[in-house]
Amino acid sequence: MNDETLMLAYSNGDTTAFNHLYSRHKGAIYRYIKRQCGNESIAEELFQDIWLKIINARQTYKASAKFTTWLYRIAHNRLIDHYRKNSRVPTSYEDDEPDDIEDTCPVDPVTEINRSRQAEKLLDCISQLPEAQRESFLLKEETGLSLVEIADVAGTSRETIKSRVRYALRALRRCLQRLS
Amino acid sequence: MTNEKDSQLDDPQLSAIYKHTEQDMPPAHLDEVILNAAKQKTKPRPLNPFSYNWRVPASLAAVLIISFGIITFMEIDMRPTSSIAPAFDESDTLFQQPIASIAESVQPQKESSALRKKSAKPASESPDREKTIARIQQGLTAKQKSNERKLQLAQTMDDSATMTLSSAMPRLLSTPTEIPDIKSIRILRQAGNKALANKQVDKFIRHYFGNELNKVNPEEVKLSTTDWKAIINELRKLDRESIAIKLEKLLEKRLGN
Repeated sequence: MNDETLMLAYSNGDTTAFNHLYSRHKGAIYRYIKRQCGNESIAEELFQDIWLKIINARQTYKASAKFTTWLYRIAHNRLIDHYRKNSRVPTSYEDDEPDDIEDTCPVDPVTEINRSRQAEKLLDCISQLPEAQRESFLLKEETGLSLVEIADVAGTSRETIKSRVRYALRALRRCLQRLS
Repeated sequence: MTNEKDSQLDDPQLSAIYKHTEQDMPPAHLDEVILNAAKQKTKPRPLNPFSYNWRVPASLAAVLIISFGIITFMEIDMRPTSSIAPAFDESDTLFQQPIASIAESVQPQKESSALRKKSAKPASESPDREKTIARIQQGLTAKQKSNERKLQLAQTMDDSATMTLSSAMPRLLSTPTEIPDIKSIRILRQAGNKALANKQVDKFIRHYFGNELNKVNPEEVKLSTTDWKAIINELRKLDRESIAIKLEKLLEKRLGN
């Protein structure tokens, strides 16, 4: 059963449908929030808020909207609210055309043995990315959404998202190269 | 074309490394909070008793009506017996009717018992006749009960009248052997109880004039002229003209001397 059907079932009172939805998406959205804000306790608070918003908005959900896009748009808006509350809306969200970075640092082929170590380094590199690029990368990796859908979530254009992803990938490759 | 361009943004090596990152999951207590919230929201809300505006006023009205009924009933129940009896009223026909006449109307009791005896004939009668007799008996029993109630009511009312009059003529009613006075006789007559008034008049005359008016010496009668004239007047009012004339002649004789 797809997400949209489950959400409609829940809006009609089927709590089992919600349990399935929650189990399916809780990990990805938690990681997206946690890695985006970089603080575990804030991540937990935001995570709870996001799901409560989903629960309260069940009656307004329309099957025409893709559930994942809807869910992550709510999450994105909650994050922006969090930034505003702390008077710190990252400038990277306004920078649609970040400086071009020369892609001179291809990632070395990794073996199974050092992949875990590389993963730790990658997480460190992700945390150093500007918020907008980080969000685009995380959404792409965690949700599998297309650029258009990510643009829909972030409330911007496909081209902007494309740039953010491209710059994020370059920055991560360089970072991993450097740490290696 | 777009997908083609999008695919240029894929980096399989980075994605592979990212998949090996720690798969953070929300803590269990958050799962519990969220799933409970989801469950609670879908539960049907219990009906608010105050959500229907008509329920409160309807309940209050019912309580008021019942309370009023109970209080009224208690007041009636606690009222003294004398107040339940009808107050003295000259226009009351039942009061005007002497007890004796009411008792006469209750006479069918005897007739009914006689009929009952008659109806107790052997079962050789036809079934239709038996049914008719039974029906008559039922009717007579009902009538008898009705008459008993009537008699009780009349007695109650007579008692009530007595209570009302007792304040006006205490001597007359508290001790029947005592000499009645003109005022009491007048009140009885005016109340329409002529029978009792007549009895009191007779007692009055016997006391002052003796049993034989022809043998009365008017000078020996210890009665004031005013009372003498008053009793004559009462006798006339009670349509006892012959005795009134006799007493009038006696008074003329006394005054003439």
